[in-house]
Amino acid sequence: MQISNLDQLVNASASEVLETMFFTGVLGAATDLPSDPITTRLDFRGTPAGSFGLSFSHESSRQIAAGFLAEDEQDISQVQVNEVICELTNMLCGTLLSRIDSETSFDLSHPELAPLPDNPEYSRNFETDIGTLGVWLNLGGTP
Amino acid sequence: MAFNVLIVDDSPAMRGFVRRVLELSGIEVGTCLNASNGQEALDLLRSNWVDVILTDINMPLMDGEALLKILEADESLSTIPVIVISTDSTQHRVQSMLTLGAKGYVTKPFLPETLREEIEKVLGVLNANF
Repeated sequence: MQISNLDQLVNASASEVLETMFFTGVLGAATDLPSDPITTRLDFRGTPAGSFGLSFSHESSRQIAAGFLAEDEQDISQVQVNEVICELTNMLCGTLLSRIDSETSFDLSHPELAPLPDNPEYSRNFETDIGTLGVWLNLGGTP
Repeated sequence: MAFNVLIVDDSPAMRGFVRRVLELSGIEVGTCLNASNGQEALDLLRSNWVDVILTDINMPLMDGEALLKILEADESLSTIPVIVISTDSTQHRVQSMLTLGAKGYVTKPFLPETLREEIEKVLGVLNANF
C-alpha cells in the first residue's frame, strides 16, 4: 500500500500525541538517530496492516514518563518508563492509522520492547523538547 | 455524590493517567477499580457495583468489544454506562462500539476536559469544577 503524504501524517500524529498527553513539543525533523534508545514495536491489522515502533533515548524516555505519570524522574522505575513508552507507541500508531484511513477500523497488538528492524520501509526522526524521537513503519502483513 | 468507577486498560500507565484525570476533574470519585482486560473487569463486577466503566478496546484475553457484548447481554450489568477510550478514531470503530451499547467514546490522545465532559454527559453531572 502506497501512502503519498506519509511524512505529513506522521508529523501531525507525533505533534498531536506528544503535545496533548505527553506535554512535549515537536520542534521539527531530526537527522540524528536517538542515542542509547529504548525501542518498541507493535503489529497492526486492518487496511493497511504492518508493524510500527519507536526509539527514544533512555534519558528522554524517563523524562517523558515522569511527565505522563506526574512523578519525579527519580521516583519511577524502569518498568514504569517502559510502560509509558509502550503506551506512547500505542497512541502514536493508533493516531497515525486513524489519519491514514478515517473510516476503516484496525486492531493493534500489545506494544512491547523490541529491537529496531534492520531496514524499515519508512522511518523518521523528530527533534522534541527533550530529545530525538525515532519512528519506523513497515507496511504489509495480514489485513 | 461520589461515583464508583472501573477503569479497564492493559496499560498500567494509561490506567494511572485516567485515574489522575478523574481526581483532577472535580467529579467526586468514590471507589476507583482497575482491570487490565475485559475478563478481569467482569470478575470485579461480580462483587462490586460501579457507576461508570471506562474501557480500552485492544486488550489481551478479552477486549473491549467482547466486554461490551457481555455487559449488554447481562440484565444486572447492562445499566452501567460504558465509555470507550481508544486510539481508534475511525468512523467504523466509533459507530460499532456505540451500536454495541457504549454511551460515550473518547479518542486518545485527549485533553483532560474532554474526558471530564464525556463522563459528565454520561453520568449527568452538572457542577463539576476542573
